[in-house]
Amino acid sequence: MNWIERLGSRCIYVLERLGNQFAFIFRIGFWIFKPPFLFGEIIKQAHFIGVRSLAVIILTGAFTGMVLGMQGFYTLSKFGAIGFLGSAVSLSIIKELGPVLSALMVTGRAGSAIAAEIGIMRISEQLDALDTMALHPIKYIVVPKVIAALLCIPLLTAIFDVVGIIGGYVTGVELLGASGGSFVSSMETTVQWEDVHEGLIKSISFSVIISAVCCFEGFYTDIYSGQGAEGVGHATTTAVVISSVMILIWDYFITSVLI
Amino acid sequence: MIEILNLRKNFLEQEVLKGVNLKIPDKKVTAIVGRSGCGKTVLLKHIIGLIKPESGQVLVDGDDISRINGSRLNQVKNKFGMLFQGAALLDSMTVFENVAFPLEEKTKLSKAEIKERVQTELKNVGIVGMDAKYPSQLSGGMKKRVGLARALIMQPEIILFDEPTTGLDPIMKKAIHKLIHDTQRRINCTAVVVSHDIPDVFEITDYVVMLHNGVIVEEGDADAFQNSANPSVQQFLKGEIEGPISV
Repeated sequence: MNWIERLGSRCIYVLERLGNQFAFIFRIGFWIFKPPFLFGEIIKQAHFIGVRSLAVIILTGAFTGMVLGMQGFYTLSKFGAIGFLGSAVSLSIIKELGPVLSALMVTGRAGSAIAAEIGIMRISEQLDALDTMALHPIKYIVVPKVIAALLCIPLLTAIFDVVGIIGGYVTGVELLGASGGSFVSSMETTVQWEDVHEGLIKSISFSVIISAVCCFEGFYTDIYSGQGAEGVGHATTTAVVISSVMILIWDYFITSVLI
Repeated sequence: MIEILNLRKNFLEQEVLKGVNLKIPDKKVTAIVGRSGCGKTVLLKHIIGLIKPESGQVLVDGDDISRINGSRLNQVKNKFGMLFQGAALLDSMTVFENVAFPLEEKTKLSKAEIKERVQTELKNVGIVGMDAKYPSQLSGGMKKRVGLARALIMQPEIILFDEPTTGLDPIMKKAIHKLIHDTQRRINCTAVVVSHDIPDVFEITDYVVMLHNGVIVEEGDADAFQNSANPSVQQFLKGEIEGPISV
């Protein structure tokens, strides 16, 4: 096989995979509105994706806010603009760092687990077993995870935002001595509802990326990642890498539209 | 009636099924035998519509399962129960939840009725007092029994068994074979057993089919099959290394 054939075969593989990914999202969209609505399973998944990600989100948010407060304090002090510290910290977190870092943290903690769980179900024929019972695996396994991600990731982002701003306040005001009144008032005057909406829209779109990519990688473990434990391991890694890269790429495009 | 017509299936460059033609008799136990990796499980998965063929047809009571979808496909699948090689129990659910799952999702039975049906089915397969255990806490034989209870809970017309005795000790093999035989007689269903468990599988089968090189090379009732003049069949039955089947 010469290099042209190899390139062609690689292109066909990528296009086929992309096509299957979009078809998978379309199928999720179809099943998400079809009863029965599995509320019990959605709550269970919301607990896994949301509640159990809370600690990592709070920790990440706090330290991100604290380092932003510190960097912001020393940078703004060079221009005599410490009064804008509240604006700098809150806008950075609400519009950018909150949605992106929350999504990356959830990808690492819950997205990888989702891909591994569905991958194991695939290789142990549990998904086939559902299919033979005329119970569609996308409806019963994938859709509850997607709905839970859509509900939880924006909420986790909101928590990240609040904790991050408090972290920035603690470092900038309590540790380094910026004015607390200026911090809060600059935040009040510059942060608009549009900024909050921007963060919300981003976090919702990231939820779709994480849940769709991680579920897809698990669901097609046998086709795209291989058999057995090695296949599941590969699917999990691929899910995290593709989700993370997609989040960062999509962030650029959606920011350029929303800004 | 299940009828397979000129079924072909490739995986990448490998042609696994090269034109399988087969009629599976109703209300009998049919065994599909053949060497490991010859495509028995692939054929079984075509029968229930888990794999789509490159060409050919799988007719289940006249419906080509590879070309129907939606509610029609679900209606055909509802005729089936399947016991997978590893039982394929949902590992996040207990024994009771696994067996009750199809009833909960597909019927409007009350909780009490579901409990009664599940207990009866578990008792039929010899599982008592294991309701709260998870699949990871069960032995291989127990998993198969629970898998069979789940396959039977919707009272299917056709049951497919994918290597039901693989990995079990000789006593448990006999027990599972007896269970398959008794179950088929009790509910008078069509049973298809994929196996290379020779000669034990002949004790429970009415009809035997041998798959080799992607085609059916021999078929007949259990006695006629064992006395076949086909050298491939005789080599397979005797487990000889030398013969038309290359190792």
